[in-house]
Amino acid sequence: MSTVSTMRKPIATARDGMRLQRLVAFLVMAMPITGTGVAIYLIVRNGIGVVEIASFLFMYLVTMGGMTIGLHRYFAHRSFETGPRMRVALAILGSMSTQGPLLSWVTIHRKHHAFSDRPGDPHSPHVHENKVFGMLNGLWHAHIGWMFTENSADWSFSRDLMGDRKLFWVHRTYLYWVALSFLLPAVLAGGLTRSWSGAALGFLWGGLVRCFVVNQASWCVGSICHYFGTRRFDTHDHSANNYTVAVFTFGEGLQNNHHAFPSAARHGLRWWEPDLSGTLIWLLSAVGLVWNRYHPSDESIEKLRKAA
Amino acid sequence: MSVGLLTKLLGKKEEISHQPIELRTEASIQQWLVTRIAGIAQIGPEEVDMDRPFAEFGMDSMQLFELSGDLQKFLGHDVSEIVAWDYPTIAKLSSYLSSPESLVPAGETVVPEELAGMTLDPQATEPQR
Repeated sequence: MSTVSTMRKPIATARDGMRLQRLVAFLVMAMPITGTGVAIYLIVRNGIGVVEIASFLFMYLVTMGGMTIGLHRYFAHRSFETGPRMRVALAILGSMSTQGPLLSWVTIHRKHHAFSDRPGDPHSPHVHENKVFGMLNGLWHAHIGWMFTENSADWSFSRDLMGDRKLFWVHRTYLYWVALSFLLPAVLAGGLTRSWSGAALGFLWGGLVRCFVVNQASWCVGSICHYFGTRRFDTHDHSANNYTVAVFTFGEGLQNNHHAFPSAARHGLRWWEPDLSGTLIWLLSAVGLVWNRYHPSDESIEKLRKAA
Repeated sequence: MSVGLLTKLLGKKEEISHQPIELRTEASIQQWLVTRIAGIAQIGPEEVDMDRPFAEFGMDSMQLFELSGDLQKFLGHDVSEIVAWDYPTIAKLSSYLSSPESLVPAGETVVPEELAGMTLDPQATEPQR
C-alpha cells in the first residue's frame, strides 16, 4: 500500500449499511427500555412472582454466559480450546446476547485491545477519532454512543473465523438468534405454566428486561471499567477492576486484570475476585467440553504488577 | 444473496480442487477485477487505480468476502475466504492469483497474536479453578 493512496479520501463509504445499523441499534435500546418500564409498572401494581424471576435469571445466565465465554473469551481471545459442536453452540448463545453479529463483535473487541484508550479504540471513554473527551461525554460515548458510530460491516480483525462455514452461517443469521432470545423464554414460561400470561411474562422478563440489563451491564465494561476501579497492573491504558460490574458481567468487569492478560481464561486472579464465567469454563473443562485453558504463570503476573 | 456468497457457502471445495487446473494470466484477472470494482464503486473502468486498497472503493467486509466466492467461480479452483485482505489491491491480488502458489491449499488461519492480545508465556498453566 503506497503512502499516497492512504492520503486520499475513499471514493465511497458504506452509508446505507450504517443507516440500517443505526436503526437496529435504536431498536435494541428502545424496546428493552419500554419493556422494563412496563415491568416496573406491573411490579408496583401486582408485585413480582417466581415466573418473572426465573425467566430473567435463566436467560441472563444463558446470554451473559454466551457473550462472555463464547464471543469474548473463546472467539476474540482464544483463551481455551473446544470442539466443532461447542464452537457453534457458543456462537449461537453469544449471538443471543444481542451484542452484535459474531465477526463484527470480534473485530470491534480486538480493536479495543489493539488501540486500548488510544485513537482507534471503538469504545473508549477517553478518546474517539480525533476527539479527547470530557468525563460525561466520554462515558456516554463508551457506554452507548459508540453503537451509532462503529461500523459493524468491518470484519477485518476476524479473518481467522471467516473460513468456518458454520460460524459464518451463525453470523449471517444473527437476527434470528436475537429473535430466539425473546421467543425462548416466552415458550418455556408459557409451557411450564400452561398459560398465555406465563408466556407474556416470560417474554417480558426473560426477553425485554433481561436484554435491558445485559446491555447496560456489558456496556459498563467499556465505560465504567475504563474510569472507576482499582488498577493492579500498569497496562498503558485506563482499564480498571470494578467489582460491582464484575458481578453483573460474570467477571468482565475485572478490566485491568483482563488488559494485563487478555487471553487468560479466568479474569479473576485471586480466589475472591468475582468471575462466574471463569468458574463456568472450569466446569465445562471438568466435564470435557473445553480444554487447554490458558492461564499466565505466577512469575509473569508478579512481573507485570505495579511497583508498590 | 449474491452468487459469490452462495458459491462460498454451498460450493464443495473437494470436487473443485481435484480437477486439473490451468492458471489464468495476470492481465485477465486484472481485467476481471477492474470490471468488478468499477461496478461496485460506480465509476468508469479507466478510473480504477490498481494500487488503491479495495476498502477505498467503498467495499465492506461482506463484499470482500463475496469477491473470494466470485473469484473461485471465475478461476475454477479454491480461493481462500480472506484473499482480499491478504492481497488488498487489484495489482497485488492479480499477481498472487496468477502465480502457482495460489493453488497450494492454505493451512488453518491463525489468529495474529497482537490481535487476540495473546501474551506468550512459556510457563503458562491451566488455572486451578
